[in-house]
Amino acid sequence: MGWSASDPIRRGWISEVQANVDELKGKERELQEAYVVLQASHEAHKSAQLQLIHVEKLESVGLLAAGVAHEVKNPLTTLLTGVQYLREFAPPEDDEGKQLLEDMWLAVKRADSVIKGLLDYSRARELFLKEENVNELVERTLQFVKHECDKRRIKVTRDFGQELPRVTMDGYKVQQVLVNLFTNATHAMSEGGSLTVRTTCRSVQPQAESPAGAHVGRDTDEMPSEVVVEVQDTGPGIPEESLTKIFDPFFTTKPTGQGTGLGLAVSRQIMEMHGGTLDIQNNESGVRARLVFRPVARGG
Amino acid sequence: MEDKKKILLVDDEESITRTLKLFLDRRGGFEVRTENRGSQAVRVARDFRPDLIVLDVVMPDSDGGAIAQDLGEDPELQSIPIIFLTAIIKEQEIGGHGKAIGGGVHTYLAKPVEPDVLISHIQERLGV
Repeated sequence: MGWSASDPIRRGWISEVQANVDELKGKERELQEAYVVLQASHEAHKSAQLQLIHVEKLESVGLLAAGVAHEVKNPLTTLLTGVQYLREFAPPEDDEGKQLLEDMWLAVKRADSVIKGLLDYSRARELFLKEENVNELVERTLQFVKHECDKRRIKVTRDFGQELPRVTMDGYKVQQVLVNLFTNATHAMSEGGSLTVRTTCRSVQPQAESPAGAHVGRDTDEMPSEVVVEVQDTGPGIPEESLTKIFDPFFTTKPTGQGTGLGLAVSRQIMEMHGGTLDIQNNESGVRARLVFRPVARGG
Repeated sequence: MEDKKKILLVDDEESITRTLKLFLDRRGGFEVRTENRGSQAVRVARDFRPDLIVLDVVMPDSDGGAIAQDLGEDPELQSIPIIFLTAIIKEQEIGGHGKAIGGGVHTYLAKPVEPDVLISHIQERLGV
């Protein structure tokens, strides 16, 4: 016997199947939605867990750094004073001896900078917040690297946004971030080049909260703003295989003795403490670092 | 001939007081006495009457803050300027000048301090 669509029994059966299929599809959609929610919740949980582990690690590093700092800085004081004494009052007559003392002096300074970097890394959580004019802060910080830029024939271009809202931040720590970025840029352009610093402001949807309470002032009554500082160099860029590691403590692409590998780790941490971000990318010109100071919700 | 300014160096590390004494004697032209026991610092200060004290902060038998407090409570010693040398802070955090302890505003320098920097701070505090 053949099948007929007009058969009432068959029609009833088809619509029943159709209803079942629709119901199943609906359940599948619900499942998919639940999966998305679960996944987001899992991601949030994972991120919170990582954050906790990070904080615990920092506390350990902090304790270690303070202990190491005390134990290492004392002998460094003796060495620094001793080397300076020899350089001044008992200088070797041969060039090798003079060079040896010079190398010792630099070695002590280098060891000291590693200790300072460790202390920075472990203490980035302490912020002393104050309202700052971002353009003025950038300008002041550029003065720190002026000599280095002149020496390497690096042209500095300022593209500062006008009427940026003031940003509540730890100015000293943000200067540290900027110095790190400017220094990396100048090191990448040993044969000269161009360093462009751009500041901008854009309106964004308010966020729930900012972790450290640091925030960007509002330029209008309607929307909070985020302030962005971009540092662009015209160097050769960062090797692709290094890009994922540049924020790891003690990772450096610089020659031995020229970098502790803590600068970017400290810098990102400082920005995160401000509720902001630091991203670094290669682009067609070289490397672009971008700092974003995020706003907080109105009344928060 | 003008009297040499007197500096008391207090640090539990003998190698630090020995090298700094050499440098301050020879370059700074100061009369330097050293003490490696923090607990003896006030007694030595009463005896030596320094024009300035260079004081370590963390020492096993006493700490620089407590010593500054004791000096500040002694009418004959309270006006002596103190330069703290400390291994647990960074110079940028303190900007070379610090808070008041024991009634006096003192200078704080982070170790390892360059000898030239220490001498210039000593000269500044002594007005020489």
